[in-house]
Amino acid sequence: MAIDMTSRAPAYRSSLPPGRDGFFQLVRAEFTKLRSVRRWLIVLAAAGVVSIALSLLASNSGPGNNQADAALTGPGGGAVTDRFRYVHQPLTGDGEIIARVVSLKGKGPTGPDDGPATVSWAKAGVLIKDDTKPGSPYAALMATHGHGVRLQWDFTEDQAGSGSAAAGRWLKLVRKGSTLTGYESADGTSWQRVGEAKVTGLPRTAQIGLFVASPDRYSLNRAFGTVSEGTGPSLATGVFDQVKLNGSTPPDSSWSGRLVGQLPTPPAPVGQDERKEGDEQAAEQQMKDLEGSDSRSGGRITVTGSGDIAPDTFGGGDNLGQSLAGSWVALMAFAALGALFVTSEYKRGMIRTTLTASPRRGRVLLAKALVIGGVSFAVALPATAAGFSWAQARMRDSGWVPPVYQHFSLNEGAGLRAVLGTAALLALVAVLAMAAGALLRRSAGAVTGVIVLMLLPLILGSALPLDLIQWIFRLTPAAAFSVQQGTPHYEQLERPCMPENSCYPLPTYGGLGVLAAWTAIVLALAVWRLRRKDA
Amino acid sequence: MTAQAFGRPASSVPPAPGGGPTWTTTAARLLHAEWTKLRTVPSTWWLLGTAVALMAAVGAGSVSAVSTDQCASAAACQEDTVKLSLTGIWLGMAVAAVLGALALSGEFGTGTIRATFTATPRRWRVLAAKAAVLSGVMAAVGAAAVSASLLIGRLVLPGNGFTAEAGYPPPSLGDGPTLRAAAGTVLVLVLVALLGLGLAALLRDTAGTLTATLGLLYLAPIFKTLISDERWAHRLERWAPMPAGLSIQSTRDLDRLAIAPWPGLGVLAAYAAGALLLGALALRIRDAAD
Amino acid sequence: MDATIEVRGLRKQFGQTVAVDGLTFTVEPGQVTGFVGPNGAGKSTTMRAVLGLEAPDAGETLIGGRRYAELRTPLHEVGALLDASALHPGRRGRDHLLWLAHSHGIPRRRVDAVIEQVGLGSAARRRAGGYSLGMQQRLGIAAALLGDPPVLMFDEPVNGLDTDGIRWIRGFLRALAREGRAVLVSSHLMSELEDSADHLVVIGRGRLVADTSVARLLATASGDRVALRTSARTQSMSLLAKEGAKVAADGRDSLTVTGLPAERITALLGAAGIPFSEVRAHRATLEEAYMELTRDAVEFQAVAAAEPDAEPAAAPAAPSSPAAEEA
Repeated sequence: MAIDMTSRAPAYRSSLPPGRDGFFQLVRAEFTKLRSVRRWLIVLAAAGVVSIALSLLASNSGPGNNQADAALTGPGGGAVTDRFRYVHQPLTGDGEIIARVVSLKGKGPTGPDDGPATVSWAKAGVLIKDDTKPGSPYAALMATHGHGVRLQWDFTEDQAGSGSAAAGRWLKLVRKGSTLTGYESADGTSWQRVGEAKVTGLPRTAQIGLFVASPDRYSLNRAFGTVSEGTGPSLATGVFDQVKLNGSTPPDSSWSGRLVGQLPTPPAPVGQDERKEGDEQAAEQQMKDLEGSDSRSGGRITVTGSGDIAPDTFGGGDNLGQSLAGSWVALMAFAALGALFVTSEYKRGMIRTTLTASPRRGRVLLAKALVIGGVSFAVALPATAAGFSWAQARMRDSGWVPPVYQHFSLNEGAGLRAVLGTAALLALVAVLAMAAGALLRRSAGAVTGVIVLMLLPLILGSALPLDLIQWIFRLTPAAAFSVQQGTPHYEQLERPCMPENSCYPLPTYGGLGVLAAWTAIVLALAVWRLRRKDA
Repeated sequence: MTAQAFGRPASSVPPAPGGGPTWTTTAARLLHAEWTKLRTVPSTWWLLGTAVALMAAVGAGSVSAVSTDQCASAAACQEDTVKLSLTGIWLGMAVAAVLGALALSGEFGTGTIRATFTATPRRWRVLAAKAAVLSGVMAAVGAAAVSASLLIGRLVLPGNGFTAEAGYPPPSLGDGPTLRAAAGTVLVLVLVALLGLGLAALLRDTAGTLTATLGLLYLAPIFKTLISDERWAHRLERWAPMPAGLSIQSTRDLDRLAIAPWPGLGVLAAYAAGALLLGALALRIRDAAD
Repeated sequence: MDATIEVRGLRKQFGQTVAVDGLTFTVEPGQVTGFVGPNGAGKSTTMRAVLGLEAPDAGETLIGGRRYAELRTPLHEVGALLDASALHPGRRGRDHLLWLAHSHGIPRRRVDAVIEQVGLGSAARRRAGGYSLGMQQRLGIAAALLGDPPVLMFDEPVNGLDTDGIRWIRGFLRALAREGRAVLVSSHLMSELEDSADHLVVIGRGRLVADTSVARLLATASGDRVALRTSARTQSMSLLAKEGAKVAADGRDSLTVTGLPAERITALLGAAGIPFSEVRAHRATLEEAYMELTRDAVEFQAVAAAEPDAEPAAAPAAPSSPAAEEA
């Protein structure tokens, strides 16, 4: 029987409601794909559980050296160093002090290796302080040996002025209520403003005067896997003239010199380096010198001092990372899942079904990214938060307590930022792996590539020279670990920013931005490859 | 076609003397088959090329970034220049793991494994043949990568102050500890590939195998930095595959190592052997494909 | 919109290999169009190009007059089964349909409806990794039907089906076409299409060999061959050859005569007094027709070019059309 070809059969009309092609539908389809493979759900759950378990494991032990009782705390509550030679007198109410730094030079005793060279953060300047008790609020304007003029207050704050050399620099510190303003000048007539400090808790009558401090010499020895940091005392002498104090002082008041703070007993090297052990007898000999001295002749005041007015980061360390350590394992699971989410479609040829259902290929990949990123974030956030809170609570119980260690909480500040940031990091890793999987179409390359890029910098941290590893942590996606930095890096300390000490060269969100940029670039390449040609 | 051929089906394979193939010919055929499989996958060759290039590049980056200027004196640097030249092992081992894993998980992924197991029903023999071929290939490639890395170290290090006068003789294979580090690094690559192979027999899936292998290799060294308890940090360095296995790279201050070079390599070998053993067991128990 | 598939001058090359070379044909609604050619003829490539999965080097493919990439809700426009095994083994059959449904906002009850329609039943609740080839095919067909599209494409749907399955799918394809849908079914075996296809597009080495109705093809392939059974084989051969026919001996007493109609042969043999027991116009099977086509591909193309498009019903009936001869 032949079909009659002249009259076409009427075209089929479906009774189904018209379809929708919104992006939401695409996201929903991808979500259904993800949730309907049991093995993937198991991986997600395992990632969460293992993340919590490993955070707990890493926070298992107490801090190695607990100096919590001995620690001096500053107005902010953190551990601080507060030792310097102070030539001062009381000042009531508003006023100002002017002085010229004639010279600033290093002086014996020497460190274990070096001659009496001046340490770069040796400082001489003018200072106003609550009283002479160590740890009390203060503001200081100083000339330093290697870092120019600085306005510092309350230990953690540091504002840079000009980079001028110390010798011949004029300094002026003006008090108005609780506001301290610093000025510097080359000639004592034209003044440049350095900055302004708000110091709360400064009484109406405070001590004002001249100071000299010379931080401990710092030596760093980074060999494979071990970092040895050594410190040794140093001394510096600052000479001032043109000292002028304007304001209300007691009638018969005059300059009196003293050592603020306590000398270390004995100055033992910090760190694991046994070979740096100093000669104890010589050290005791040095103690006297470290108290410093001051003398006045004519208009000149000569002050010799040691120590520093700064945060103390040697006693403790960053205790945020341990409570987030589980994220390193979770990261691997998310990378594997992200890659599989797309490579499994290539492996079976299902990608053709996907692209047939959604011919706009770029949108498919974006929907995939949104789903894998969203689901990863949703799993990572509670797991990270739980691991973090639990681990921090345990760590507090085993001696990781202020002031030496910071108190981190889920409710605020660095703790909250780190938990949110870590969850975002894990979500971005999943998306990066997905994009890499779509680009390479093979899971082996995508999984290995992402894991190596994220984790290898952490491993090589102590093995590679500092400059190199810092660049690696600026350029690779591992930069995102900056969200796990709990303690800020203080530029006013000699100690460098070492990734193995949880110090990363990029700011918190800057590092996350590097990972996001990698993800965006790889995703764009994947979209380009997917759209370019045959599937 | 000859008239004979009509009479009875002729096999193109000559019959082995004594009824069946001898053990040695079976092994040789199996090795030949596995070598052919490995050789005919294009990814093998660019993976191996990548391994050499990455190891040499990381080694070059590491040696060119150090300088005795950073230390108080050249001697105070305490740098293990041989170990530094071989830093690329950290990337090389990732490629070795991929190669080892893919050698088996690739067959599970494509279903080739059915043909393989049909041809050789005693599955452990397949695993053994794959292990042998992988070891040979990894050893050859590892030797190339290690030689390149040491050569780069030799050329670059003196320029950065690491001279023989300062106590840093240029890396030379004539030197006992250097030879140990070089040969050990090659062995580390071989063992990591075998670890990947064993875990692939156990887990079958490429992504899962690689995640497990890399986790085993990389996580312990990262966790080490966090653990403040000296006892646990020491145990981790002794018993985790990677810090232990890489103690073979040390050429100085051996007394400061958590585990001596050869025993350390033995720990890694034990992990690889364990993974292969478990893998062989899993191949025997589980169905060929699920 | 017309429910059609149009392939116009499609050309696709993979490296040095030309998979499809200037292919043009149209799949009309209301009938099952068989898409036939040997393995590697370019069938799958063509179907993938129609679905926008392969970028053509030249030419274009249109669904209802539009390129695939322009379709906003493609599952409602065209349903396709390319590779039934393209499933994640860990995902349940129903979930596979569900994600496809979600991509178009198709309600769940439609998913269950197509599962029933293809007879997958409770197997839809199992993981696809445990599916037999037949179940995979049924799931793939269900996926194609999900959007209830007016155009359907199935690549080798009969593969791996058992006899019952094959019977089911033939009826199913015809039913879909009767509803007014355009149905394109590829196969490398003409016999598989014997009872289901109304129209055929035959390709070989990426080129069009025939684009014709099944009835017309059978008629052409049966040609003017006549089977003759006679005890006087030699005599008949020489007689008929003298009259200009080609005669081939098939067996001890049977001959195939080409070039003379059956009536003329009867008359000639009768006049010469040669005994014969049977004169029968040969009726080709689809398979034979196909064999003939692929053998004389070039000649046929010339014929097809002379009589373009699907022939109207009024085309002069071939002298040896089966209907005519059996009468």
